[in-house]
Amino acid sequence: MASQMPPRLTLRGLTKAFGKNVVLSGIDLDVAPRESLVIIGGSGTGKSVLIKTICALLHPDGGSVLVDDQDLFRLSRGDQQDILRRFSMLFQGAALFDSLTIWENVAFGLIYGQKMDRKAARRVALEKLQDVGLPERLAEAYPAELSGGMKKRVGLARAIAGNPDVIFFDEPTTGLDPIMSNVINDLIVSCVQKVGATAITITHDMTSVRHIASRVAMLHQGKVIWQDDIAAMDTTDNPYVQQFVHGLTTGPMTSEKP
Amino acid sequence: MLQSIGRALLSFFQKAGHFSLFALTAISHIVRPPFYAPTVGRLFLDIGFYSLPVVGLTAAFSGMVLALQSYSGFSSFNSESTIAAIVVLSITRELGPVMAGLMVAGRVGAAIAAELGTMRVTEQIDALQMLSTHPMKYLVAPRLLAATLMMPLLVIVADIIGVMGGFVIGVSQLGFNAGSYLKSTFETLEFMDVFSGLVKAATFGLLIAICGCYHGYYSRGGAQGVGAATTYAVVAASILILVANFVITALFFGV
Repeated sequence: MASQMPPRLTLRGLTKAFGKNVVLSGIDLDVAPRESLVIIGGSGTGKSVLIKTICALLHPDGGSVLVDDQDLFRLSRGDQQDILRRFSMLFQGAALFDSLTIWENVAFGLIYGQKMDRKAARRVALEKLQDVGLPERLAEAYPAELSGGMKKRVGLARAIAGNPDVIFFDEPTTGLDPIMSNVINDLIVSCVQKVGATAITITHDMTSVRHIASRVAMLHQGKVIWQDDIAAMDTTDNPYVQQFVHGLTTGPMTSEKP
Repeated sequence: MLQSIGRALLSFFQKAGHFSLFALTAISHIVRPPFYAPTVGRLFLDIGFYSLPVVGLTAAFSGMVLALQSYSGFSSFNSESTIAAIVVLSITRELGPVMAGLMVAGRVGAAIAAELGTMRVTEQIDALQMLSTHPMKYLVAPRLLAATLMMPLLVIVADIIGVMGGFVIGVSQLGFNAGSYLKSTFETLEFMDVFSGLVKAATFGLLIAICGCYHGYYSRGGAQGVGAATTYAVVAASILILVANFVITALFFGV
C-alpha cells in the first residue's frame, strides 16, 4: 500500500541529539495516506522523540520532514501552523487539561484552534464522546474524576475531534488492563477509519501492534532497522525484530544494553 | 580555577539571556491576538482577589509594628508627631509594595510555577501545541497581564490597611488624637509617594509572573523537577523584587 500511493509523510535523514546523547541518527521513513504505521523498539530508542520531532514539538538537528511534499521545517511559521493543524496526538498519559471539564477538553482544539462557536463545539464534543463509548453525563466531569481507561478515551475523542489527517498515538495502552487495552485498540482502529486519517503509533505492546498496524517499523539505536507489512513481522529473520516480538532475553539487543 | 569562574560566568549569562528572551517573548504576546479574556478574568480573581487576605494581614501588622517601633525610637527625641508621617511614607513607598510583593511571590509565584511545571511534565503543554494553541499566549501572557494589573490594586488596599494599622496602634496604644493623626497623615502624603509604590507593585507583579512562568515552563523530571521549579520561582522572584525595589527607589527618590 505504501509504495502505490504518494506518501503523506516522508522522513529523510532525520537527526536529533540532546547534548552528546544522539537519539535519532538518520531516520528514513515513508508513511502513506490512511496507513496505520506502528513504530516498535526498546525503551530509550527514540520513539517518542521521533514522533515529537515529526509534530514539530521538538526541532530536528538535521534532515527533513515532508508532509505532502512540503518540508515542515523550511516553511514559514504560518504555513507550518496550517500543516500542524492537520495533526493530532493521543498522549501516553492522555494529557487532559485538569482545569477544564471533559467536554471542554474534547472541544479545546475546535474552540481555540478552529475558532468554532462554543455551542457547536460542545455538540461535536458530545458526538465524539459517544464515538469513544463515554456517556453524555461525563461531559461536565473533570479529568481527576475519571479512571485511566476513561482518560484515554477522552484523549482519543480530543484527538479525533478536529477530523485530523494524521493522528499520533504515544503508547496508547500503557498502564491499562488487557481488556481495556483491547477496547482502546478497537476504538483507535474504528475512529481512525471513521475520520480517514493516517495513524502513527509507538508502542511496546505486541497485542496492540497486531491490532492496529498495517505496517510496522522497528527503531534501534536511532535508526529504522526494519520495516514491512504487519504480516511479515512474524516471518522475518531479522534477529532484532524476532527478539523484540517474542520478548526474548537473549539476542542482539541484550548484549548492547548498559 | 580561572576556567571554572569563566564557565560559571558563561553559564550565568546564558541563563540570564534565556530568561530575558523568554520574558520579552511573553510580554510581546500580551499585546498580540488572540486574547483569552475568560482565562485572564479567572486569573484576576486567583491572583488579585484571593491574595487579599494574606496581603491585608501582612500590611495591617506591618503598619502596627511600624507605629510601635517608630514611637519607641522617636519618643526620646519628643518627635511623636512624626509617627504618622513615618508610617504613611514607609507603607506607601516601601513596605506596602515590598511586603505585598514578597507575599504574592510566595502565594502566586509558587502556584504558577507548580501549575505550569505539572502541565509540562504531564505533556499538557505539548497537548496545547498539538491543539494549535500557543502556550505562551494561552498560559504565560494572561498570567503576566493579570499579575501586573492586580498587584497595584492589592498595594492600594495594603497601603490603606497598613496606614490604618498604624492609626489603630497610634490612637489606642500611644495616646494620639485620632483627628491630628489623620491630619498629619494626609498632610505628609504626596501623589509621588503612592505613585512610586504603584509603579513598584506593577513591576513586582510582572517579575513574579515571569519567574513563576519561566521556571514552570522549563521544569523537567517529574515531581522533583516541579518542586525545584517552584522553589527557584519564589527565590528568584523575591531577589528580583528587592533588586527592582532599589532601582525604582533610586529612580524616583535618588539624588
